[in-house]
Amino acid sequence: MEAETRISPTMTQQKSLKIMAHMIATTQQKLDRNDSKPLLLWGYLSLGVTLLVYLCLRSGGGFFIPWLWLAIPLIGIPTSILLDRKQTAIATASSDRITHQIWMLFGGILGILPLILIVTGHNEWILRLEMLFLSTGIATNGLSCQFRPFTTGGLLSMILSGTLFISLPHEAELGIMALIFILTLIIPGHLLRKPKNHV
Amino acid sequence: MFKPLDPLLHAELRLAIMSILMSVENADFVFLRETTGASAGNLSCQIDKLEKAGYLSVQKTFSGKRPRTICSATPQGRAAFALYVEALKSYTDPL
Repeated sequence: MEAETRISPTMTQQKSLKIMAHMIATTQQKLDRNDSKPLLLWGYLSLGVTLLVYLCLRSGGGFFIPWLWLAIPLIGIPTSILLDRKQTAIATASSDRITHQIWMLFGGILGILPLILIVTGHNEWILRLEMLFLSTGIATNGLSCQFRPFTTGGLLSMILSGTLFISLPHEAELGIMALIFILTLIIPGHLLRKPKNHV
Repeated sequence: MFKPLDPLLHAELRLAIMSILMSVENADFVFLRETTGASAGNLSCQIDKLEKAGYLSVQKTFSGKRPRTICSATPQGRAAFALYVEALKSYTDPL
């Protein structure tokens, strides 16, 4: 944008409208790209760990397999903090505060729940309940921010989470979990990065 | 009847700054510079003018050890922007 310190005699009304539309669209696109980063990070990380667990089970299993799930928070949390610190150009939309509050609540539940279940000896419920709360969080976020991929992905995943409460072979459970990660995190993440039509 | 356009907003960079701030709660200096593509000096000068007019507020903080300038549109700035858009409509759709 060229230097402009006074009323431009060449700035027409159409140009004003074009500037406004372009700036609003560019800002939205930048916000969307920033929002997609944590989704893709957690999505691919969770999918990768699910695949790793599946491969370990296929190759004979081992006592360490349940502990592999810990890789998700152990890698995800520091990487999220690092990405946050590296970000230099920052803008906050009004919906960011709502999203932040939703994930303070659901993030807290997702973090504390496994500890409670381990202490009370109900380990078998951890993944099922985590999937249900993740899906509910995503659907809530989608409804509050009116972002349809979140709402649809979250609601579909809530149904899929329900199937985890039925006795299924472990491989099938892992397949459902992978699908939940794709629906709730990976697809919405990529949709946010997709360039939108703007003036 | 054509309505007068606010001269403070009817300038490319100032209009761009206000358009960005209308669509977010706040934005830092780096975000505004990257989005508008303006030079730091020119951007700083235009922010100063908008701040003096009461259209935006500037908050200087630190992010770790780095200084950070955060801008947000004031209610007065939002109202002026809405009036500017209304005035523009009278030019593009005079009937």
